[in-house]
Order: sequence, then C-alpha cells, then structure tokens
Amino acid sequence: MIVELGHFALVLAFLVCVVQMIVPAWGARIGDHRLMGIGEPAALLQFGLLILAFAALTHAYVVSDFSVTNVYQNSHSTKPLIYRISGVWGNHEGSMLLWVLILALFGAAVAAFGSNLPTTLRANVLSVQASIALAFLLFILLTSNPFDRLDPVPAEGRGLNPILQDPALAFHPPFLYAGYVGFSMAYSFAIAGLIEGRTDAAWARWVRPWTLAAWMFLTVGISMGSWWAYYELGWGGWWFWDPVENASFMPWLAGTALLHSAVVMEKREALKVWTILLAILTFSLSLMGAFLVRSGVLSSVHAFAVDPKRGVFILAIMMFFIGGGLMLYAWRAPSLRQGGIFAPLSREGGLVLNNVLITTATGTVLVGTLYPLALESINGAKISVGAPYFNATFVPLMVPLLLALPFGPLLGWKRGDVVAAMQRLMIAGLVSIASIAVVFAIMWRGPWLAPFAIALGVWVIGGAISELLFRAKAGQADRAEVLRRLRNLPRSVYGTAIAHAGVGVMVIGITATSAWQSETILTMRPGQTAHMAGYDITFTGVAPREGPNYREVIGLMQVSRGETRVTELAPSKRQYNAPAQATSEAGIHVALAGDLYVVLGDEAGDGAWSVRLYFNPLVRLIWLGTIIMFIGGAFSLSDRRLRVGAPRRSRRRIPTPVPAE
Amino acid sequence: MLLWVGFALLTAVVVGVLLRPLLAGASSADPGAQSLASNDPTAVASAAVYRDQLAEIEAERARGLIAEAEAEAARVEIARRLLAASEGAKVRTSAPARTDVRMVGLVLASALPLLAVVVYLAIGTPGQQGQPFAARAPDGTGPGVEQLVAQVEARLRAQPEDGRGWDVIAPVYLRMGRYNEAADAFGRALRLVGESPERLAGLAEAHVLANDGMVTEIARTSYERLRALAPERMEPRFWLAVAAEQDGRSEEAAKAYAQLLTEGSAAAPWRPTVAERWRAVRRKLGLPTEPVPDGMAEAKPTSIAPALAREDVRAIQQLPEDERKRVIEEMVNGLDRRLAENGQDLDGWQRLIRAYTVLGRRDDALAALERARSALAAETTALEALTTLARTLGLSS
Repeated sequence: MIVELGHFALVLAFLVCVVQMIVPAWGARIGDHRLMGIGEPAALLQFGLLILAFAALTHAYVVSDFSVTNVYQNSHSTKPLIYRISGVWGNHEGSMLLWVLILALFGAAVAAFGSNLPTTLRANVLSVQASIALAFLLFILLTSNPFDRLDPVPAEGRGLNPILQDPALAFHPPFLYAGYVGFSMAYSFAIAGLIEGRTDAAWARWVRPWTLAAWMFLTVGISMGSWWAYYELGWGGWWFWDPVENASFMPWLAGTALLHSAVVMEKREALKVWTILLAILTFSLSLMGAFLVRSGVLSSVHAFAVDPKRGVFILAIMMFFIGGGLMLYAWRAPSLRQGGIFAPLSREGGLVLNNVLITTATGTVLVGTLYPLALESINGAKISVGAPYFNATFVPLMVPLLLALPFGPLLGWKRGDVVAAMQRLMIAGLVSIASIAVVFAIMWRGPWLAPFAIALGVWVIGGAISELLFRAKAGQADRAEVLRRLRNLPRSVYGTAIAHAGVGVMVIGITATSAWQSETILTMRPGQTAHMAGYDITFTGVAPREGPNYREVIGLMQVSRGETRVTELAPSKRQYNAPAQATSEAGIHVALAGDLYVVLGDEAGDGAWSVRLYFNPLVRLIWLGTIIMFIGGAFSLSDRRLRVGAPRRSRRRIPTPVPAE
Repeated sequence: MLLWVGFALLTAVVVGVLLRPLLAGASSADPGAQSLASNDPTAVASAAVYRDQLAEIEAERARGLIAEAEAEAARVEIARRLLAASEGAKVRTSAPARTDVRMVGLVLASALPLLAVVVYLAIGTPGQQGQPFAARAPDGTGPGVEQLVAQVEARLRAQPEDGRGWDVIAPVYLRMGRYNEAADAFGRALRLVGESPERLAGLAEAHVLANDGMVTEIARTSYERLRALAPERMEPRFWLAVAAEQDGRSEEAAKAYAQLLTEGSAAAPWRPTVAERWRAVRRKLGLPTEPVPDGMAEAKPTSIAPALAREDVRAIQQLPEDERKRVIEEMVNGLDRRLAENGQDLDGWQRLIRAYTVLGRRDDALAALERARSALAAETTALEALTTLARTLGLSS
C-alpha cells in the first residue's frame, strides 16, 4: 500500500510537472498573473509529491520489501540500516529518483523564497526548471521505474555491490547530485533571462548564491569520492583522471568560473552574456556527466545502468537541453544589454582572467575525457589518456591562475591599482620565497619544481591572509581598531579569503604527495621488517577472518619508530561472495607528516607475501583543503542568507579606487 | 479500497492547492503596483533590490566600514542603475491580457485526476500488497524454495562453521543459477566437512558456470582431484580436456576428446557435445573432422556387441568366416527378438541398428530405426541419440 501510494505520487508529480512547465510560461507570455501564479504551488506540490515517493521507496528498503523489484535487486535483509537507506540511491532507479527530488527541491526553493523576483522571471524560471524535471520524470516512468513490483515475491534480496557499502560512498551521491542539479538553477535562470531578453539585478542576485550552494555540495561530493578512492582502491593515489572523476570535475571547474563571473555580474552588471553562457555550459557539463556515467559508455562502479535504451534516452535529454540552450543563446544573447565597463587591470579584469584560465582548463579536461571515447567509437582503438596528458595541459593552466589569485580580491572594481596590490602582497610574497628556500633545505634531493609549487600554495594562503589584514587596516590602526574592523568585516570577505586559503592548502597537499610519495613493493616473510619514512614495519604473519558476507586474509603489521611502538596495521584482501568480488583494504596510519599506507598483495609462496608500502606526505591536506573551501563557501552563503536582498560589498562598487589611507 | 481512498485524497489536495491562485485571483491586483507607478513587475522587483542595496550602504557607513565619500559614490551608482531599469521597463509595459481562468481551472481539475488514474493503471500494481521482510510468516502457505534457502542462509550467518548447512545449500544454489554463492558454499563445505566427489564436482561446476564456461584454476585443480578420487567419472576428463583446449593445448585436448568418445558408452547423452568439441579442435588443428571416433570404432565387428566380454569377442573372431557370420547373425536376431519384447532399451536399439548396417542389411537397419523411434517416442534424449546415430551411419534421408 505504501509502495503504491509512492508510485501514485510519482505519477502525480509527473502531471504537476507538466502543468508547471506549461501554465506559468503561458501566463508570462500573455501577461496573466493568475496563470503565472500557478508556478509556485506547482513547484511546492511537485517537491511534496516526490518527497512522498522517495519516502515510500526508502520505507520499502528499510523494511526490506522484496516485492519491489528495485529493493530485491539492490538490498538484503541483513544489510545494516545505514546501507539499506543508502541503497535507495545506490542503484540506477533510486538515484534517478533522488536526482528529480533535488531538482524539485531547488524549484520549490525558488517558489518559497523568490517573492522578490520579478513575476515573469519567476514564472519562466519555474517553467524551465519543470521542463528539466519533466524530462527526467519521463525517463524514470518509461525506462527506470523504481516502483516496479515482483510477484511471486523472492525471499531474499540480491544485496548491494560490496564496494558501495562504505560510509564515504554512501553519502557521496547525494552531495554530488545536489551539486550537479544545483547548477540547473543557474541554467533555468539563464534560459528564463534569454526568453525574457533581459537580465536585471534580481537575476544575478539569485544566480550567485544558488551556484555557490551547488558548488559547495559538488566540492564535498568530489572530495568524498577522491577520499574513498584513496583508501579503498589500494593504489595509494587520490585522483586518477578517470573519466568518471572527470565527469564530476568538469562541472565543478565550470561552476567555479560561473561563481566568479556571477560576482562580477552582481556587483557591476558586467559580463552578463558571458555569465549566461557559462550557466548553460555548467549545467550541460553536469548533464554530460550523468550521461557518461549512466549510459554505460564508461564502465565503472557507478555505471549500474548499462542499458542501451536508457543511454539513448539520456542522450536525447542531454542533446535537447544543451542544444536547445545554446540555440536560444545564439538567438537571444545579442539582444541583451551589456553592463558596466571596466579597465583590464581591475577586479573584473582579474575575474575575467580567472574565467579564461578555468574554462580553458575545463576544455582540456573535456578533450582528455572525450577524445578516447570518440576515437574508440570511430575506429575501435582503445587509448588511455592518463595523468601525463593532464599534467602537461591542466597543471600549466593552474600555475598562472594561482599566481594571479591573491591579486584579484585586492584590486578595486572598475579600475585597479596593481602597484598598491603588490605592496599589500609584499609580505606574502616574501614568505612564499622563503618557503622555497626552506623546502629546498629539507628536500634537497627532491624534484626541483616541487618547492616552487609549495611556494605557490604558501603564496595563495598568504594572499588570503593579507587581504583580511589589509581590510582590517593592520599596521595602520591600533590593535583595538584592527580587531574591531576584523570583527565587522562582512562574512563574504571571510568566505573569499577562507576558500582561497583552502585552495592553497590543497595545492601544498597535492604537491607534497605527488613529489615526495615513497613507494616500495617487496616480498615479506613473517618476522621480516621493512623501513619506510622513518617507520619500521614488521610483518608478523597472515590470518584468515570471516566477515558477514566476505572472507578475508589479513596481514598483521607492527609499526614502530625506533623503540616506540606506533600502531598495528591490518591490511587485508577480501573476497565477497555475492556478487563475487575481491577488494583490498589498505592499512593506513595517519600522522601529521603524512600517511603510512600498507597494502597486502598476493601470496608469494611458502609464507611470503608481496606487500606494497607507501608514504604519502601531507596527503590529508588535499581533503582538508576542500573542507576549508566548503567552509569558505558556507561563510559567503550565510552572509547572503541572513541579509536577504543586501549585497554586501557594495562599497567596492565605487567608481574610483580607494587609496590605502 | 483504502489505497484508492488514499489516491483520491492525494489527488484532491494536489488539485486544490494547484487551483488556488486561479480561484483567488478573480480580481488580481499586482501586489507591487501600489509602491511604484509602473505596472511592470520586473521594474518593481529591481527597484526592491536597489532599495535594499541603498539600505545596505547606509548600514555599512554606520558601522564605519566605508567612508562617507565611498557611500555617496555607491549611492550614485545605484541610482544610475535604478534609472536604467525603469527606462527599460517602460518599453515593455503592456496591458495584461485577461484569459478565461475558469476554463483553465476546469480543464486542470478534470484532466489531472483522470490522467493520473490512467497513467497509474497502466504502470502501477494496485492489487499487490507490500511485503515487509519481518512481516512475512516463514510458515505461511507452504514455503517455496527461496523461502527455505533464506532460512538456511539465516542459520548459516549465525553459524558459519556449520559445514552440513553449506553442504545442503550448495547444490540448491547451483540449480538456482547463483553460481558464485554455490562456489562459495561448496568451498566452505569442502573445508568444513571434507572431500567428496560430489562436493568437488559441484565446486568445479559452479566455478565453470560462474565464469561463463571458463575452466578456472580452482575448477581445474578440483577436477584433477576428482579424477584421482573417482576415475570412472566422465565429467572431470571432459572438463580437463576443455581446460587443455582453453589453454591452447589443442592436440592434447583432441586426444582426450577422442579417448572419451571411444571409451564412453555410445548412448551417453554427452556424446554429441564431446563430438562437437572434438570436431572444433580438429578443425583448429587443420585435421580432418570426419569420421568421428565412434565411427572409426564401428568398422570393427566388435562394436556390434560391446556387451560381450572381450574373451567372447576374441573367440568369435577366431572362428572361420562362415561360422563367425552365423554366430553374429544369431546374436543379432536374438537381440532383435529381445527388443521386440521390451523396447525400452536405447543401448540395445543402437547396437541393433549398427549391427544391421555393418552386416549390409540396410532395410532392416531402417526398420529397426523406425521401431526404436516408436518404442522410445517419449524420451527426447533417446530420440536425439537415434537421430545422431542415423546421421553417422548414413541412414537419414
């Protein structure tokens, strides 16, 4: 009964979506407020109905109702509750339901909080948002219905792919989807703006926070995926430039660019046309990510819907929204009024540079991801575009970006004073140069480029701190005044500084791990001791162990540093029974300086085992950096939320740069 | 019934909420119209944004974050935009059309529930109750196989060292097509209970089936073990030959298949399969694929009486030509009589048909084939074997 109620709610949501797509847009066209007014209740209803459907499916999972095909295929009565819940989106049908639920959530947010939006804009936005939801609801109802039933009812479910039974991966999809789908807001606003032929203050004020929220979720989602790959795949790496990773990374990059150009648009009403294009492109990349992962074009853990019919359907959705959006853009964008003008060396100019570099970087990732697929479909040749390509194309684009990054926030709007900005960054620059010397002194053997990359990270962090200090007039006013100013600084300023510092932290982590990772593969007999980064690792033997749905062999490793015992690691090789899969669980010792990472290999005969040892220096900084970026985003967002309708940095909109007093 | 009440309530709520703006707005006045002379909502909203920004600047000035001069400049900028926004708005202002909203409301209120029911009935399953795992009685209306399996599974989870349980469930898994689980269960049973031909055969078979016919390392070692343990069994020899073929050792595989064909019973159901594999391997090796080994054996008269002991065969062969022919004729006729009394003997029929062919009595062979077919009409495997035999002997038209 609950299942069928959920199913009926899904059908109703589909119909409400049709209404929401047609009636408000029609009303906006003929200027009838009552018709436009249907948009809000429709959006709220759609969200409510999808909540109901999603709750019904979740309930079926929680009580293990195997009369639902989807539950039978992806759950098991003995799974822990948390994985029964995460199993709802751990499969194709359920994850599509989550996808439309988040779409509806964003639509409902426009309806609930958009009272200060122009009525026609709001109606058009809701209409476009509904058209996206409609496409996916149709997809669900026609090809991937999670409410299909089974009769007779099987006694037990088939269980969830053991790789997905992991905390990081359980909550990776909702974050990722919130990010992907969040960009649909920017898309809907862009299309609505193009339909109306104008964008105004309210347009930009709405697009930026929503893009920011989506960007934050995506940051966390990608970071979780990378963390999972690090500890689960057992290669000691944290990013593989795998097409599935790239599929989520491209919208993130484009979203980052969008975020920055939306700032320009909000503050200065400049870059309108470009921002709209970016909004369309960002969501297009999200759709492409969904298509690549879902259609079975790529094979991966995520590709649980290897079904040509579904792939073609998603391809059609993607073509419609990308092609339609770009065509509308080509047709309508010339009629948009251009906004404020600015000098090349200004805050706007800095953000344009940011956009150019980031979109170019997105392009290189896009080429690296799609080229092998295109080549394979044309002549069947399988080539692999791996880290060397991306290191040669992506990284060189990031260097000027990071070099220029600290200047941006210190330049004035419209016309900036680069010399003044340089003066303010003097200390950060000196610290960063000093860090080169320090790193060289410690790591004198290492790759000679690495200290410079570390310095780049230090430079970005220093720049972020300098900005805060400059705004607080440190060194000019007395201490009490500086503290007062620091307290009073708008939270969006803190948000910028924190997020940028997060980038710096991440750069340091990436550099240290890539440059100074040590790796040894050796065959160890019980009692043998290996040495790695100051640790002594003694292999004491292996032991079998039975898990609930797997058997494993664990290798026991005593880790000590000189005389002091540090810890005991137990890397293992697991063999799951249903579905039969072998996984390796790394033993990881986390320390300030870096991770000791031990992987058990194969048995080498007479008690000896091959063992892989890694030391990943400062690797935690990578994920710490993303968390800091998330916090920065949250700061910026909270500023927006508490003071609705009040852009904070209006004082920087002044036409002449303020000299440092 | 309760379900449909739920559907009706849900639909009613949806239609009610959806139609409210239509019903309420009989005399819809633009809420923003009072505040600004223009009727254009866009201008109203923009004005609101700009007003907020002005207030914000005032607040920042009050907190001492910006200087008076900066605040003034910002105010000028915002005023400029406000002006630009209202100019743009004037161009667009138009009288809103009055649509017949009652019509729209009526269409929505009738079409929505109707379509919902139609779509739902097309894809939904209203008759089926939910069946939460906990609520399902294990002793309901006679447990099915799956139910029993689930019970055994539950017990085995509690006591994973119960070898008998694994032994019981393993062949069930195999029959259900859950090959990986079957392999796992056979493996555990072997470890916990001990080695037996059945378990070894099951483990190997599960591995082969789970890997789409690939004889894996585990399957190969199991079959080798099984061959040592039960030399009379045919399947380890066959699968080891397949393994040899898959490893690229074609000649070895061909030899093993040929041996199986010559040594195995002529009526064995696996014969066509093995013959097919033998031909495939020979083809790969570039060797002639005809005649199939059992055909080679037929050239010798011994093959007409495989039931005879070897000594008897040798004795018959040592008889003079006429004598030998007479003895054989006698044996064949005896066989014919026996089969006429009791036709349920595929082996016998095959021997008889072969014998008639070898003796050159083609008409009798064809008649025997017909009789065999009618006698064994109920057994499809037997009929298949007869057809194969007829083909190899050139009896099929």
